[in-house]
Amino acid sequence: MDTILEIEELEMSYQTIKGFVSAVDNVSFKIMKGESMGLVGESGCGKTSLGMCIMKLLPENARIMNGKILFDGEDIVPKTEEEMRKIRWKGVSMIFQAAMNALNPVYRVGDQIIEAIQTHDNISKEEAREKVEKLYELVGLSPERMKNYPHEYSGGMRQRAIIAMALACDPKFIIADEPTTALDVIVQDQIIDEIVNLQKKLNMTMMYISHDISVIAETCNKIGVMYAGNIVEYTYTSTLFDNPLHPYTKALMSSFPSIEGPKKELKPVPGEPPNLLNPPEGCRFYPRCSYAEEICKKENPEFVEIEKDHFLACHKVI
Amino acid sequence: MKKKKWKLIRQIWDLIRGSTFIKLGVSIIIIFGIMAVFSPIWVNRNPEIYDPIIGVDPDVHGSEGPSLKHPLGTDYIGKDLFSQLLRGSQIAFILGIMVSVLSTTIGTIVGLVAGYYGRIVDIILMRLADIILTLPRLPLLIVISGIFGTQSNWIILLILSFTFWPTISRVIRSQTLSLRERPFIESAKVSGVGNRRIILRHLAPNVLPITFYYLTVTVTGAILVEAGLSFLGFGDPSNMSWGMMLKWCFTTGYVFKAPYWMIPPGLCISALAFSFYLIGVGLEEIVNPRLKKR
Amino acid sequence: MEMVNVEHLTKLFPLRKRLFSREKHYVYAVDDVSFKIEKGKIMGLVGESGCGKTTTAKLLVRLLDPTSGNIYIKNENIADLRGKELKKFRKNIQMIFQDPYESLNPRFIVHDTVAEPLIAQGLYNTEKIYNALEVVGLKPPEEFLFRYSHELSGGQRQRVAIARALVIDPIFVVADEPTSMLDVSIRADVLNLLLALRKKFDLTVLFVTHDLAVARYMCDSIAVMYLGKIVERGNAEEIIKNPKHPYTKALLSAVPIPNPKAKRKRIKIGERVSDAVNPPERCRFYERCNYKKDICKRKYPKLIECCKDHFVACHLYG
Ligand SMILES: Nc1ncnc2c1ncn2[C@@H]1O[C@H](COP(=O)(O)OP(=O)(O)OP(=O)(O)O)[C@@H](O)[C@H]1O
Ligand SMILES: Nc1ncnc2c1ncn2[C@@H]1O[C@H](COP(=O)(O)OP(=O)(O)OP(=O)(O)O)[C@@H](O)[C@H]1O
Ligand SMILES: [Mg+2]
Ligand SMILES: [Mg+2]
Repeated sequence: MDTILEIEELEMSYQTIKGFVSAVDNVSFKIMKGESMGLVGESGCGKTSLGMCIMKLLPENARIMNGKILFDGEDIVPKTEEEMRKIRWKGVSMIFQAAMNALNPVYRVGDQIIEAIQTHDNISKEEAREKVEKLYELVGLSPERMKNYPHEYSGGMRQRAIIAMALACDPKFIIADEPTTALDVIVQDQIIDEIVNLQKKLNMTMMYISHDISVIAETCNKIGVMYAGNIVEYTYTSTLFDNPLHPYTKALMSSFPSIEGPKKELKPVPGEPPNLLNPPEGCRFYPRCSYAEEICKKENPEFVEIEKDHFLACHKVI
Repeated sequence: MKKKKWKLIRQIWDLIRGSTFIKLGVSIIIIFGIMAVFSPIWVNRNPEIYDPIIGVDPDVHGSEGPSLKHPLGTDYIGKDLFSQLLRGSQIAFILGIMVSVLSTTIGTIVGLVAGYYGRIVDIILMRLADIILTLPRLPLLIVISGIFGTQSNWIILLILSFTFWPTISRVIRSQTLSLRERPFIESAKVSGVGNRRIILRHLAPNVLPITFYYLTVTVTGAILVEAGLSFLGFGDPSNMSWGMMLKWCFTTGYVFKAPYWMIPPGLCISALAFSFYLIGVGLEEIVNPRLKKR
Repeated sequence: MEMVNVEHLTKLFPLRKRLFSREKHYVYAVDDVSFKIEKGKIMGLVGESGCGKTTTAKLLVRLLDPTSGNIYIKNENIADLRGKELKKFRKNIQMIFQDPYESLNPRFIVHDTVAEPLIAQGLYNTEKIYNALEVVGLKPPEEFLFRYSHELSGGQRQRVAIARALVIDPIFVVADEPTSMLDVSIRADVLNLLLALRKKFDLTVLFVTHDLAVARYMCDSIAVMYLGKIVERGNAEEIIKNPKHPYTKALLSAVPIPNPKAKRKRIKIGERVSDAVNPPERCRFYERCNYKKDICKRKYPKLIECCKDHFVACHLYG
């Protein structure tokens, strides 16, 4: 299998009045063609920021300080906006967080997608329309719905339209940022089902961002666990659930209730997530870690392959 | 708890100090404040000559340009323009601030009550506000002066306050409407907190920034409207304001002949109105991000 | 002993009248809802967005006036209490709100927030405030008393909200999605705190949530709501393991499971089409139901006891 995306020691900060917010720090991982990687972590740990780095759609105050993002073997960090525009959509595409609520209420949904296609693809309006019709069928919407306005769509339909838009230019790699967070369980389930099926059918590579580890468990074959800007563990989903190694991963798993199996007591992670403005020295998890030692306070653990395809950043386990 | 309150006041003070708008506004106001205080000193040296209403310089015939004796010159019968200008700043201050305090107080209370209680109370108060908003100020002034048989600054003050509060109460009401649905108000209700306490402890502090903003902006409005009224001849004839200076300049035909007469009051009106407006803008700048910050 | 007994509770919201239209339209937000909660038990109220959970909660604490129906708390009907009597009774019922950022006055310090219910009831007592803060785990209380809510983290804020609710020793607490706005890793902590407090003070709790896994973890019994009606209620474990109503079944089958090996069977149902505006007499779930019969179109099914302590409103049973 070929590598489609390889990230090496990526480091990104936001400059704010109060100082630097280190939102992505020392992140390295690889995604192979056709895989689906789940990125799980709490609110504010830098999941969206990492996705935006890959798209290179960063706000003014963000800086990539260090590292490489190799997409199809090419480093996109030094690329100009002009060059990036070609890669975006066709190469990488993104379903943005809360995009379903960002549809323009005064334009027909179909027209919005057509316009988006035309800005990236040099095709006529008619061709674009035909394409959108196909996309609508692909994501399970009736093409007649194209002429409706966003408020005439239900939440699930809006999210489907957004997915159609992200698929418009046949991307090789798609980033889905919390595509189901604002939806009800039943609709969430249908959308997840749709995304998984599409990914298999179109043989796309996917990065699925969510704060809910159970959603990731069902959608992805690999999981990256993110904590305070670091990826602390990265491996196959089944391996992670059988043999979680990082204390945070373990804690995260035992803090989710389930409707399956016997009723287990939840074991919460003590303390609060750190402020990324002044992240703790050393391992960022150590203030909440029950195994913390002297060394964790001083040195940030390296992210190493501890068994085949199982990457980990922890002093204790190694 | 005391310590915490002081800390807050100091924080606000730091914020105010950091705002160029407010600093500029306050500086201008201080200059006019000094003028207002200086007014009796200037006059009392020789009221016969320098009193802004009845004093006349017997040596002067007709309007004359600036001289050592009359730094801004004199008007058409030899009254000192500088002392008129000083007296005008007193009037502008007193009238502007009183109108603004009176109308923002009424406006805030009415807005809070209408917004919080809603339903029939809201309908009655807001219809009243609408009616007052549509009443033209000038005919109202004429009618009321007619009733009292005289025009005095008190009537002007009452009428200005009376016509200014509805705008403020509308803004406060809409703010209250959105605050009323906020969970912390619901949470207070669940705890059995009474209506009066909810208005005073929860709603009022949260609309106070807007009240302060209007407090300053209304001063601007009052100064401008008073100047306009006086200019049209509806001022208090027993006193002297900037608007009235302009009016005399016009009616005696000196507009194009005596720039020393016309420019100073015009400038003063703009400057003082502008200074309060600057403070309003500065306050809004400070207050809004703080309001939005969770 | 029954602590809470709700009978035929109904709340209609009038819709804004259309121009030239004489008909009155109502949202049937809560429609003929009845349930009981035993002393010291937690009842979960679950359902999709907009089904009337929050409205029910607000009716029970009398933030809204019921259109009709009775609410007995300790055998006293509070549905029609007004003025002084209502104010006095408020001491017995408290509410914890969804968003701790919103339910605390930003201009209050913690002391003022927690003291407010005491002051309102004329029971102000510093010791009680200290105790309440300690009980919810804000130790030492002195450190938190003088902070503004923006100086607290999300978890601490929700703890303050809980302390405020408990400071006047209520007998019945309504919690409206108290953890849905919290970070994943602190969520479990707050859930466990609520369970511990329930035990300690023998509280009766109505726990509103859209998350069935959380409901199972927290509750003794569960009521499932759909468009203003309770469609099924009973013992929590029984509802999760042995659901009867087609809607409950679909809802449960859509909950993702944090275990990649567990394969769940999806029950496919359509998206919601109708809403609770002037609903017809038929079963509210009719359009989406996979088992609909002729009678479902003609009559709304009664809530009947299908097995011991398990009630369901469906024509398939009974
Ligand atoms: N434009 C920005 N300027 C400054 N700081 C930012 C900016 N955008 C994000 N941040 C900060 O960077 C950190 C990571 O944010 P990010 O949006 O990547 O988190 P996330 O994991 O996607 O969270 P969520 O689950 O809430 O979407 C947060 O602490 C956030 O406050
Ligand atoms: N004040 C109101 N006026 C009119 N309609 C209302 C009002 N409050 C709620 N509704 C309507 O009543 C229905 C039930 O709303 P409610 O807020 O109780 O739902 P919910 O189950 O709490 O949903 P969520 O999970 O989104 O919080 C909705 O259709 C809503 O639009
Ligand atoms: Mg995000
Ligand atoms: Mg709700």
